[in-house]
Amino acid sequence: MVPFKFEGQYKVKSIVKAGEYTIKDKIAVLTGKDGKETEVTMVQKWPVKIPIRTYKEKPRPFKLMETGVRVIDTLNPITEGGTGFIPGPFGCGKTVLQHALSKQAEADMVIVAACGERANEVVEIFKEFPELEDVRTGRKLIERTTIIANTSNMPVAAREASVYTAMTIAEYYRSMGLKILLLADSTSRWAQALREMSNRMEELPGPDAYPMDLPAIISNFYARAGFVYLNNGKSGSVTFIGTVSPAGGNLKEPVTESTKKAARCFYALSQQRADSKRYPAVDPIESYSKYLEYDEVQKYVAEHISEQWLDHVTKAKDILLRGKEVSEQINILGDDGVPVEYHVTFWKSEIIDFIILQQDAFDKVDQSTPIERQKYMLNKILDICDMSFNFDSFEDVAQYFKRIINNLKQMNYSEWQSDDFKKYEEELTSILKERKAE
Amino acid sequence: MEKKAFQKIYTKITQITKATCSLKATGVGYDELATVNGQLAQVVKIIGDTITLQVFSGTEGIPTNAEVIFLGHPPTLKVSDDLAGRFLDAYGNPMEGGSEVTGEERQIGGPSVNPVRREQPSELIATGIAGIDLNNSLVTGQKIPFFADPDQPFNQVMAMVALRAQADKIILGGMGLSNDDYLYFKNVFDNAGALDRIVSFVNTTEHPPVERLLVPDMALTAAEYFASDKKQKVLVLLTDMTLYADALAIVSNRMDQIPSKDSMPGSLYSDLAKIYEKAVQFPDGGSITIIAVTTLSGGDITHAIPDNTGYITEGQLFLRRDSEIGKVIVDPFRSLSRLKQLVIGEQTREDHPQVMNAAVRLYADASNARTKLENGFDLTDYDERTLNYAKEYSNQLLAIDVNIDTEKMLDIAWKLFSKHFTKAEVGIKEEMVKKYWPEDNQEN
Repeated sequence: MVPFKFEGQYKVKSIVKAGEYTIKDKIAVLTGKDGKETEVTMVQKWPVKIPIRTYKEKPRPFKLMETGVRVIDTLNPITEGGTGFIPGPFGCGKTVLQHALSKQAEADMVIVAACGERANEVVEIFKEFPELEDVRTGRKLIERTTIIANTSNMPVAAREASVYTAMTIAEYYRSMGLKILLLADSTSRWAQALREMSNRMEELPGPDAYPMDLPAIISNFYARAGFVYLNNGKSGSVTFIGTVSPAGGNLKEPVTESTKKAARCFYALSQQRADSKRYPAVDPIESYSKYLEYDEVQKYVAEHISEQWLDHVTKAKDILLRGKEVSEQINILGDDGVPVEYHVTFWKSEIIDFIILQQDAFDKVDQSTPIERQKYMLNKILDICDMSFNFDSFEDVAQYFKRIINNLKQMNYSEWQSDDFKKYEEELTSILKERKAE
Repeated sequence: MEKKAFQKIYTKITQITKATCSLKATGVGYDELATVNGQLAQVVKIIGDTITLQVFSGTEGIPTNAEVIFLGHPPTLKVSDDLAGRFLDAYGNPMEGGSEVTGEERQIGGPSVNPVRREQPSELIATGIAGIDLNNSLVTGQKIPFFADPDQPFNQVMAMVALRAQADKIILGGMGLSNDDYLYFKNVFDNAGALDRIVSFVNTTEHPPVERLLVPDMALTAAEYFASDKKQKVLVLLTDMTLYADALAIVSNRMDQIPSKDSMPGSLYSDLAKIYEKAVQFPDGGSITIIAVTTLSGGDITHAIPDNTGYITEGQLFLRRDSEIGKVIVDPFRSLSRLKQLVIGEQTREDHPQVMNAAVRLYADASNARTKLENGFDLTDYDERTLNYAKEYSNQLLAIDVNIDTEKMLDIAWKLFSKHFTKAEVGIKEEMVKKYWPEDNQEN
């Protein structure tokens, strides 16, 4: 590429033949309007804190980005060039979720900024990624991954710079017309670095001793992500997902609040779900994706998935919400203090929880679900939720639905449309017949 | 410190606070040691030719015309096998007389190991305590603190872990230990006949608080010598890191730094990370494992010290008094070892991960049942059984006085499962149940 700092018109005077060159070899000679000649190599220098703006247009993101994680793709999808963040207390599975995204997401390049991370966790990526295969290309994951390794003991200025370095690398690849996924773990540590530096410079502290301009710094950073049309007609994108680790899981602290204003998708990890081992512990009711409200996205979804998809997603969310309300009532009034219908409503939401939301990141099949399969399963489950059943007592309800869930779970664990998958599906049909009301 | 020929002696101190003094000097480096009036001090700030020294023993009695001599090097420790069995103070000098430690002189507080030169931690540390081995297995090269209230017996648990772990060397960094606790550690190690594999760096409450800033670096320099040069498995115990952070706050406050959250210095995260990141697994077998104590005030983990610690360490262990059985247990809900996935089911028996999860899940059901009971609801048969199970689980596995190997812990867990629950309620993979479910006392 011609260095980003060049402005105006240049003519390519000469260029080397295809072949192998080192990054410092002379690749081309450019002639400017004034007749001055410049030699170009493959190396570029760029100050990391300044965005690279060598694109023609930056429209609102409209293409969905497939991540293979159901709770994201189905309920709150992220777009190519979109921004999202994952807040959650320690031990809720932030890092596992980010690792899952980095392994499966449909991107040409994945850039991981390990910002102030534990050295042992960085070692894990070093050791694992060269072994793992990229399901989309069949090559090793490490080939499409860049890791910015900034461990916690490194100087504070390096920690501050690490996320900017990652973003600049992402923008560099975007200018080549590639789809980039940028992950930062964790932006709280970055914010702490900002705090430490502002303290050292003896600035008066803002809330929780963070610098006063923290919200501005964070939103400027998130604004660097995006989908762009390049000057040569191609498109590229930087999708950014950051994690935030609020102290004690309190979402009312400055870093979470400022990030909430900047990012368009919010994946709240809940301690309660993590405690009961419902992973990924993304809370379906607290979380949101603003992209679902975009006309462009709605149009794209209708064309690429199905016309009814968004209605289905809204319906699934409503069932989850109703399930939560009903379960609170059951807790207050006791199991036999509510009508049997309440239990049925609750268990219908549990089906969505167990089959769509929960996903086994360590299972070979279940860890990544293509959108086609997600669509199939969601339709299947909504069909079940639409049925009415005959029950005599609330104890039967739990027993019966546990069987349904178990069967659907086995389907999740089986290869898509394999014999096993079909076998479990048939079993499911016969279970459903047992109690289905006409 | 003996005086050398042609040594420059400064005699004009321009400013004195409780912990620091300033003077004009040139050719001085950051972190360099100096003597002020014969007392040891360290350079903590340089602005132009104004040097600020932190005087470890405090500045009482230092006159403005005191002699200041710069020693030309940061603090050092002499390392050799001679260290084993010694009790040293924060400067690396023997605490109760005895000969000076001999050996190679090394600067303390150097950088930690580059990630690309590390090996992934993979070796289990068995402690015999089921609350740790079963639910939160420790791994060599890990760094993990106990988050404990001051009234909890964390020093005892730590001493127990240290003695049971099969470490080649145990290095104790005591910061602000009470004299009683210091003697306790000394006795325990002595009685166990383990003195020859223990090195202690101790700053007790009788010593000046600022001195304890040297302790972790001293302990870790010794640890690095044994782990890197001698390829040994080293366990470093740091107690109590809250008092260390308090000492940092004292110094930064005296230097007129703007306090950050909870009156802690703004650099707290970096200061703690510098210590904890020394935990490492070397590819050639040596390792440094750090077990620390962070005392909390009233269990508040949002305070700056535990909060920053949580970002850096690989999990945390909580102790809790279980009133049902009258013993201290390792809390299964709040404790977490982030590295356990690397060893459980791999180096321990295959059923370990599933048994661990099932046992904790059932224990969680019991605490739901307890809430139900407290709110005056009727308990179902299942609730009653979970409560009975919880009591035995707490007593036989979570209590810190348990000392059995991991296989035995798993067997006990299976026994409790079969005594109180049906196979479906436990919900473990079919093939494991077939293999390990004890048939003899099956009631269901």
